[in-house]
Amino acid sequence: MNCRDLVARLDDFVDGTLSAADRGAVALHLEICPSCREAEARVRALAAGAAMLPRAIEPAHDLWPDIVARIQGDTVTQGRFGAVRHPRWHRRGALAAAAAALVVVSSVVTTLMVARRDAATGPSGPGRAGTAAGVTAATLELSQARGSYEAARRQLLAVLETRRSSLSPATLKVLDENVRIIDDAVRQMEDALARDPGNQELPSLLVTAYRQEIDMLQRAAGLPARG
Amino acid sequence: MTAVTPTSFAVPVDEITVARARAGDEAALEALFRSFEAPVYSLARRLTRSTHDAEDVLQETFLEVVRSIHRFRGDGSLAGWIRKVAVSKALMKLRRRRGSAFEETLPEDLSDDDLALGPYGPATSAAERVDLETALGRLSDVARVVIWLHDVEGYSHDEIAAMAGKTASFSKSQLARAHARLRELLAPGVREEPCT
Ligand SMILES: [Zn+2]
Repeated sequence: MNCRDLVARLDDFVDGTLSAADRGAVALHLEICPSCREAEARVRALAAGAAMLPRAIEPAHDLWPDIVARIQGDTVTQGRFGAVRHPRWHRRGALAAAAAALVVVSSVVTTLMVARRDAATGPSGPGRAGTAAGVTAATLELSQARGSYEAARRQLLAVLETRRSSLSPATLKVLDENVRIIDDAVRQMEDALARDPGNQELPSLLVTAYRQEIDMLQRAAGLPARG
Repeated sequence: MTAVTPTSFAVPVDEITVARARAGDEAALEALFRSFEAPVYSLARRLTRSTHDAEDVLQETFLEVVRSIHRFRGDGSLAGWIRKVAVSKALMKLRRRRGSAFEETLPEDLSDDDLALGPYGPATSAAERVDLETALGRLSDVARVVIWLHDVEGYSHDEIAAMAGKTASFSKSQLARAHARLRELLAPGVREEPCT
């Protein structure tokens, strides 16, 4: 296998969808070829980066009333929608407290994101000076976000603990699994950052992971009880 | 390149809410909407890069959910179903865009120009290293969609092909070229085809 063959198979290799024979050949080539190893590392970094992009963008305004209006004018759904009506579930005090903590997290994150962007595009200019400033802002952002994250996480987990008996086993299973996956990702990134403290990408990836976990826990805490 | 974190669609929804929603319970349907509005909207924004289109996709997705949830069996995942509805509504938007490579009439074999730059400006100079977010914005519709669905949402080429009305080999070749383009945007000047 030459480098051209390898590059053609790289996505599938990283994907884990190559045949055993091809996989072996790729692995063998990677052993001996530093530039293909570098290409592989970039494919993996891209995958990790894409997976960590923030995905919780909220619509600017509430679209539910429009949907309800469209449903009511829709012959397919007429008669079925609104067949059962009852009062909404209301939040408990503890949830409100956790939600307040979240507002703090997200505003800290937002403020620092802006600060960081300004620092990155500020007058410090390109080259080493700009890089050093970026590291400082990112690191500062991370340490503040980490504090807020840990507080919000603890609070939300405590809320969920009191609600465990009112949630279905299926819901709990999904929830526990997701908490485990995000915790793993956070731990891996923390380890990577400890090994490479100057890394420019990791702090913002970590902040994103924090946000994802808090977002998920908040949703779980707001779920209606079963039955 | 499989996503290593759960997509934001991994929202736990209890089966009681689903059962109530299937019976047409308005509060349960709204609860579903609240659980999925951000993931659906975010996905639609990612795929269409338009606030307006994303809002349409969110509305159309939930109209479809309200219309069809009574047929939802509960064996597959509800989140998976809603996500698929959202993807197909977003692809429909893209197909209606003039000159979109998703238009049925275009051949499957796209030129590099189709993949090259989206509507977000000229190529970066070799000195400018853009972040992933910016780089994704510079890809064409087709490249961005294939990357997002495959790398982030974790769909297989067969699934992407079925949703986009193309073949799996189309999805595969678009992904390879989109990756190459993305890597070029992220690390300009790094040689893509090395040694031997
Ligand atoms: Zn090589």
